[in-house]
Amino acid sequence: MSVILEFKDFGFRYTGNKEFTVRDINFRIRHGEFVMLSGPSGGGKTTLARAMVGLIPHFYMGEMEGSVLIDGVSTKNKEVKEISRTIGYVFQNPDNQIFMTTVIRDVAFRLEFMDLPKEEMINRVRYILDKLGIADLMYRRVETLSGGEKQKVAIAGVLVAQPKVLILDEPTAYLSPKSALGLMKLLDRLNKELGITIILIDHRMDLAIQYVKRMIVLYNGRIVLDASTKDALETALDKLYGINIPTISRLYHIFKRWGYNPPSPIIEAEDLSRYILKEVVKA
Amino acid sequence: MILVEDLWFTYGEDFILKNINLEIGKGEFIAIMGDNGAGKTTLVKHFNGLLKPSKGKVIVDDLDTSKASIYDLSRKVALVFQYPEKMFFSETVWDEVNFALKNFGFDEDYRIHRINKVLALLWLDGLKDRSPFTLSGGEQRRLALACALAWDPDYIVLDEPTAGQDKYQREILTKIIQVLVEQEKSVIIVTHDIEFVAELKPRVVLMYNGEIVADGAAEDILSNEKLLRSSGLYPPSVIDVSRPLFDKGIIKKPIINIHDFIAALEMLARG
Repeated sequence: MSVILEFKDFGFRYTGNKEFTVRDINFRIRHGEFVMLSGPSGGGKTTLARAMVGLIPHFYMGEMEGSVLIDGVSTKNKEVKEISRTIGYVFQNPDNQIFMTTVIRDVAFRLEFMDLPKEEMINRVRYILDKLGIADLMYRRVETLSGGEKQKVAIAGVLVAQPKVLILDEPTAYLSPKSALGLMKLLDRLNKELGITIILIDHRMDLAIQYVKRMIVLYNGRIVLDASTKDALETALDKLYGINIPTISRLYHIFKRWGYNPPSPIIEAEDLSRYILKEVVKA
Repeated sequence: MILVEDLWFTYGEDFILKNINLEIGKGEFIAIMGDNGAGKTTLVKHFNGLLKPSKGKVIVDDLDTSKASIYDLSRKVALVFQYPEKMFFSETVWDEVNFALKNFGFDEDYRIHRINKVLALLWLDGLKDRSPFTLSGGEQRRLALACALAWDPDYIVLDEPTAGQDKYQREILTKIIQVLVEQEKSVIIVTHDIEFVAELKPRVVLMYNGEIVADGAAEDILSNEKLLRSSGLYPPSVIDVSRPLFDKGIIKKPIINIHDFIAALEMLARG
């Protein structure tokens, strides 16, 4: 697949800071990937997200090195509005994203600059709400929604503009376990059915482990790991700075240290249990 | 002690809290758990009088929250909510904590003593001259907690303290909670972070649809899959691994966290 997003020797120092927040950033993301961008707080994740959507260099003041290319064109030569048609950004807190009174008005907001006929706008909103399984919320008032529902409305508001890439900044932080799991399944579907490239910023791996194919880890503003999820959990645990490692993967490594050889750090709990019964406690 | 007696609460139509009875002692560490919309936050807002019971009573030490002033209740009960960045307005970390203390009219010597103490407790002493707005998310969370702890309340309520926290911040939070509990403070966390609760093993109060459906030891409640699932939660992931060993009689009860599980396996390995 072709490259949709590329960082080339990228670095950024915010005005007023002495140090660069991120530096020597090089990676490419291809159409249809499902990537997790991770690392401890303050590592530079949000700065990279801002660069992906063009807020750096167009909105945040500072010194930028290198370049960020979207479909081969530097973000320096694109307006934020133009970039937002390719790259959708979902904020951590849906309350910062939703600002109209009803679901339909909020989701339609992004279409209002596109000069679409009203009928077409409503159809598009309905299509996306339907895809997200929240068609019944269309005419609801925003303040009556639960946290999980708000999160989906926020995502609908971004998806309605039909971006090719969806960036989500810690989307599960405030969701209930059920809603968080539902969101991961939804992202997986958007990725598989609509081919949307997903970039998930998070430091929790437990929910995403089955879906995320690649891990990029930022630490102190540098990329310290860029590997498949399996390789990351198998051989690079020491580079997963600040990340909450799934329990199963932690057990995998403890058994390894004890001299056993469990099949994979990404394994269903039942399979690990069976392995323990067979090899470890020899029941 | 916080005493909740036959508490019912409504904003006008349906009851959001129904027949809540609860006793929280000094120095207790409690997790109030449940799905979104279970009534967890509504319940804790009654502890410092932000909300008043529609029916029933909430008593904090000798104060009836229906009658006592928010001022008196806030001295005893500190609530720290989910989005701290929305509450800061001072130019430095020091001033932010100082403001919280000035509100209660403490003299300067006491204020300086308390500010130094809480900033050290919350690992913020190196940041006292920084602007709150330039802190990382985790540091902002700790600053909000510092402001709440400044006047030395006896009951500390933390709403979703682990949400959005990386591994290091969770470790720091764990240590802070341990210190507070050692100081005989009551720490009440409102959370659906089952892994965090499984690790710290506080008393668990489980809510569903406005009611308390279970109240007991973490080990009992977190290993009760049926109860958890019917309350909209999932069991901790170690349960899925340890359950088959329990079913075969190899371990005496399902194990809820990785440290206990490893310890049990080590025992088995030694025979």
